[in-house]
Amino acid sequence: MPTPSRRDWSKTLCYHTGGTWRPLPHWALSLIEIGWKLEDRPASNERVALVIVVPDRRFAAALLGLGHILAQAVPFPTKEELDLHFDALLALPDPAMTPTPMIYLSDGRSYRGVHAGVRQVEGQPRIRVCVQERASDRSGGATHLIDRARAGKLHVDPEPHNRLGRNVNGRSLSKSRSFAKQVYDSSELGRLHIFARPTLLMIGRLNALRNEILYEDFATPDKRGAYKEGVFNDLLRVDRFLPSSLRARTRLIPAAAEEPIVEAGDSPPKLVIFDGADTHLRWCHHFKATDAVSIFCHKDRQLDDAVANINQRYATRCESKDRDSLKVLEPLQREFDGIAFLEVRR
Amino acid sequence: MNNPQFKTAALSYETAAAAERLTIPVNHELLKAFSFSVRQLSNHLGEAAEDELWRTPLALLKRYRFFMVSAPVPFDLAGLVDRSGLNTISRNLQMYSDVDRSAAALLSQAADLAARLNVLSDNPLLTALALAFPKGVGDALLLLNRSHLVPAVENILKKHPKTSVAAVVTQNQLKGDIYADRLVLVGAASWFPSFVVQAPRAKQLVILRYKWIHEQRREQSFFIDGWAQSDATAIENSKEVQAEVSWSDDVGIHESELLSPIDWARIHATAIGNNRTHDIEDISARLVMLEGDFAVFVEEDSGASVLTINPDADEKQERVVRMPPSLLKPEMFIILRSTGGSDYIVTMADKLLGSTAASCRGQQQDWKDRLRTLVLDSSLLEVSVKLLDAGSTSRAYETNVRNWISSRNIRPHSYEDFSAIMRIIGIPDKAEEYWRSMEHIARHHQRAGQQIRRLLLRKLRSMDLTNLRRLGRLDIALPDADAGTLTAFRVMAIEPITRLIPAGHLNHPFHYGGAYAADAAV
Repeated sequence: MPTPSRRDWSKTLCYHTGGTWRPLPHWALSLIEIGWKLEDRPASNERVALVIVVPDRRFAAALLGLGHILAQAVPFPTKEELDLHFDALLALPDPAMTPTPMIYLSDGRSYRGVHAGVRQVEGQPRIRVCVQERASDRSGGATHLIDRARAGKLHVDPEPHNRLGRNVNGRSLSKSRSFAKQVYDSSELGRLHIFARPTLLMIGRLNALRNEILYEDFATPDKRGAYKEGVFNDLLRVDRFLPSSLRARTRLIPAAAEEPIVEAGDSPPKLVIFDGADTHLRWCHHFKATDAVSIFCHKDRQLDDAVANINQRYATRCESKDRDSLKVLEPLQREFDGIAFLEVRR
Repeated sequence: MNNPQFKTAALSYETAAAAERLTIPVNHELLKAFSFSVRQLSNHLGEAAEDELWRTPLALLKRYRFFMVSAPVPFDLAGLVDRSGLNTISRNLQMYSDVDRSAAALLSQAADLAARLNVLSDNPLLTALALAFPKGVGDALLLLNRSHLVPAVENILKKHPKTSVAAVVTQNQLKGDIYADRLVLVGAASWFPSFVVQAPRAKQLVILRYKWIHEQRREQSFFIDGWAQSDATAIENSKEVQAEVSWSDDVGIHESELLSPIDWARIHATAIGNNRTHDIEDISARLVMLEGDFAVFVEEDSGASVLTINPDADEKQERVVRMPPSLLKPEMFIILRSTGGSDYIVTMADKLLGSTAASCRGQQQDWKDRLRTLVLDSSLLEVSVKLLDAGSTSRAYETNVRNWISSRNIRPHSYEDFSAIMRIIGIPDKAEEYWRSMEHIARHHQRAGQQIRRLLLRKLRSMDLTNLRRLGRLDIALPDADAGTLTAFRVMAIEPITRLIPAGHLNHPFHYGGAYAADAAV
């Protein structure tokens, strides 16, 4: 269940202007709040179609997405999931024949390693992972033994690597981990890296979203008032902006993509954000079962067509249901025009 | 610590939230009299205003009226009114009178008022603006409805001490990150797209408008039952500055009356003429009105494409995009060859074809000529039937046959269709050889398109596109491409219907003269 503290935390987010950190403006908090409220709704056989028209589309998708992500608890893996994962690791090929590249996570750091076989300890199997190059017979070759309970810390590295490092420092899971740590406790952070699932789908212009999510710094004060910096990606964890070894919470599809790329085993997103009128027109018919937010800007070239699409859908709904019962979410900010209504999930 | 984009976004929200609306009502008795006299003439003529006899003088007067109410320029600015046109009206008054004496009297009155105005150096809009801001307009953007008066207005503003720091912009520029303390709209707010008023890039929105122009308030929400409230708050917050003499007459002209519907037929006639009979090679095309009183016909066929520039593209690769003409929209920029013929792809493709160009093009010409002769000797329908009998696999509709004859089409999509054509034109033994040549041409057309796009992308990297946004037109020379001069034009409007036109007119921008479209409702 979402915790109120996480919601409050968003109110401490700051951006840098005039040489100092300042709290996010009201419009930005409103967008986070909309994302939060959408996630916070009870399950229903009707889905929300929400459209907002903003004076500037920059950051709207990221902020809405942030609200949605913050409102979700970080998933705890089930025991069955952990068991299956450990069994899969046990079944890895013999390292003497095929050395499997691994990623080992520990204490907020990730280590490149190589599968070094299985050893029985006290009658229980443990997987050996070597994380350091052996310098000589007497030095190097640091190896960890991972039991079933810690299976979540060990993964096959999808990116093959040939050499191990000489030192065993590993690297920080995120350069802005302290920023994310203001939101999540260490147990949640660990789970995020291993068991996060994408529940948010963003469709928009890749370059623009990359700039907003990866390259703009935000900060949040810690208990001592020191600002911890980070980027939205520390929380949104967008698949395209993460190393393939880390698990994403957000999928991003470029607006110009030919078709939605859905991989086997992908669960449907809980929320889809169409960033822009053109994106809405191109993609909205692909997602009729999911809560959807369309972000239009007054300057969008296809605004009129997109608005006509929404009005037509709303008018159709009004033919079969009372207007008042279709309404959902109240307007939150004077600058936004918009509409939110319920549609049948298809 | 890096927040350039967020700070800019925040500024957009701040200005939109804080925007205060200020209307400066302006008056000028003689201009008002002239404006009403044009209206009186138009109302009197009713449907007769569409007749050739009245259309030209009325268009001239309306254009002058529109210029004077839509830009802070002196009434005697050179080029604002067609003096020779006014003289022609005076000379032909008897002719007008023979047709409709009352209308002629009204026309005479309007033309006389126009002539009297045209010798005045009055600039009431600028005077009112200066009066409203005694300390100067400061950091202000002045937004014009049309690009072609931008240089003249810039010059005028610079010379006036109260407006010397103001900049002139067009709506396209406001789509970028441009902000000011004050945004001055000249004319009626409803002449501008919604984002200008509903997401203003200035803390104060100043509407500089003649008092007798009545404007309908916009819908506040885009959506049925949308969030935006009725504009009660905005109305309460809006102010009106008394900039000139008081005015008690409630009779006004609705802003939409000052705009004329686009006379597509007239623009079409400028290029093609009125009484042309159709030819079998005619192509279905749509007329596109471009910036600077230019227009162009673009092909309607689903396989056709036009090259466009998007100066605000997110990805550099998206800056130059080839798209079907059906996706063109007003405010996009289309790239056309303004000198050196209409199709730069053919020129470039021939260059790439090198020594094989002559023989390949010769073969292309040969089978098309034979097919054309066959159609002329019988009919499109008969040829379609013959093609089906000869093994054409696609439905050899008359449209397809027409396309295959056209020089713009290289070959049918399938070899079966091509082979059927070669059979009915009497050279079946050359089908394979000709097909290989047509494939060769098609490949080089594709390469030519890619090369032009690459050259354009490279060229655009070193070009300042401000003028493209500001003036709606930009010449782009590609010396490496032998493509003549390419020009990017802003699309102003697109004709809702299609017309059959000779293929030679496609993609060739032509100047139609602005007399009947400068005040067009685009």
